[in-house]
Amino acid sequence: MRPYSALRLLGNAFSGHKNWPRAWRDPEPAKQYDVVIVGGGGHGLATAYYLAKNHGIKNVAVLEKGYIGGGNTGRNTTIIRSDYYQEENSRFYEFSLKLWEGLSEDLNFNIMVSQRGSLQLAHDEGQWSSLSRLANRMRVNGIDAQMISRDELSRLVPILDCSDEARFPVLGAMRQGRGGTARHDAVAWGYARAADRLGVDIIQNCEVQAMEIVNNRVVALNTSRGRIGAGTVGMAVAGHSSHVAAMAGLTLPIETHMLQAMVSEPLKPVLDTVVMAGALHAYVSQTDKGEIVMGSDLEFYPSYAQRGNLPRIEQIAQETLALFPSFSRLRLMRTWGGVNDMTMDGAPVIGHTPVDGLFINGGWCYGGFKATPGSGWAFAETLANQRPAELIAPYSLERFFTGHTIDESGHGPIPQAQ
Amino acid sequence: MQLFNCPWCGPRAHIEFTYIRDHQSVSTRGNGDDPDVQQELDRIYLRSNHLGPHQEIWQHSAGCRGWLRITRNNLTHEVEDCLPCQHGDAP
Repeated sequence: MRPYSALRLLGNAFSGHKNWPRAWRDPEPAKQYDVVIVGGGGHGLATAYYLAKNHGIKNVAVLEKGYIGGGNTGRNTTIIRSDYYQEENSRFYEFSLKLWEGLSEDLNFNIMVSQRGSLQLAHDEGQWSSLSRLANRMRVNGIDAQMISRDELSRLVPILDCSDEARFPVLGAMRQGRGGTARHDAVAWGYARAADRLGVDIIQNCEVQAMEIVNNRVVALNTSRGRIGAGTVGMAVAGHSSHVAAMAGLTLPIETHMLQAMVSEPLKPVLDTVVMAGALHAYVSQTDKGEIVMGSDLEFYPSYAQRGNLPRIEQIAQETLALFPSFSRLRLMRTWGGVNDMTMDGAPVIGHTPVDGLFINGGWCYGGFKATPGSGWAFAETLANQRPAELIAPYSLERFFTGHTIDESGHGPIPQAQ
Repeated sequence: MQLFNCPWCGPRAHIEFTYIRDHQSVSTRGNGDDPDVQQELDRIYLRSNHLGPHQEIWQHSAGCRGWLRITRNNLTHEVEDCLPCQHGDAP
């Protein structure tokens, strides 16, 4: 398949853009693959792409039970950043952010990475101190971070209510200038197309129903489209990790919770950065189409329902209006829910499992989108070498049993609090 | 909205209640000073997290503050049972 270019865009404009070929093939599954990735979201597709590109392993299939981009890849709030405190998280998310920065060129697909900056608001002295500590730690780790005062903040985000009368008065913020957003659907499409061009089979409407395990080694997957033999299997089904892993007899340190987000009707550009309020757990940005994207807290009870309840939508609206009173006349266009693998320490689970040839990539809590390139890169390395890549080695399943949990928020094994 | 039938207050909206934890992670330690460490770690960190009915510990935090053991389907949100916690259910 030929690369996309300005010349091709012009050429196709003459025929009214009616003759573009499909972006990736729709192959029948083969009988056997060297590597089978379960889950055709961003993480699974990125893994397949880097397997082919970095490791030359091209006899790869990605199995997706629905359609590409229909799961959590298309349900997040598209924020990318690397403002983490714990050493392991800081290193991993910064690696991922660096991949984001060159991803459009790498994939030959415009994934609309927009490093418009991300702001974490401080509403009291305690939060200011805690964010200052985070910013210092980030700078020690070579990551950009700055503390900005209320005056600067009100110049940077004029529509943010920085007055003394605000419902939650703002003291200032921590800013990561390289943070921002990326077009989530395009990430799935870009990786799918790039992986396909390197020979990866992307098989949609193919649900894994059972795993064939012989002498503690996974040898095949029984799917809704027949039996598929596999040398190595990588699960990348965050949100559903527990019941897919259960097919291999595994129990995981994960509980599935639901998170809602929503967008308003589109309006003219008013917000050119990402604003997050840790105290409210609200995060707000404006898409290139003009919609205001709003996200909030978990529903706080386990659920696989992929749909939320009205009280949380009301809360998101209240929080957003407390920060941006001028949005009060906006109408909501769409709300949705996605299910999250919430782990017992808030960090992901990537690496090997007790079953030979079976590897896991999950437990992303609600931080999975920004991790997509780094996760795919490191998981591909893990599958290629049959041992955890250095970058993600701390995210092993064993850490819970050896006392090496990576608890960014310090909540302990209470998944809904992470 | 889920409706929980509190044994003391009657049917109330789920926002009055706080989910505490899955009942499978509630302490069942019986060996006093000599617990089985692996079993304890499994209890603290692992969850079956299967699709379907789960027994969960909730508190009617914005109501009578009573502790409840609720049997609830995590896919359909159907509530099968809403009973007072028993001795030993403490989270």
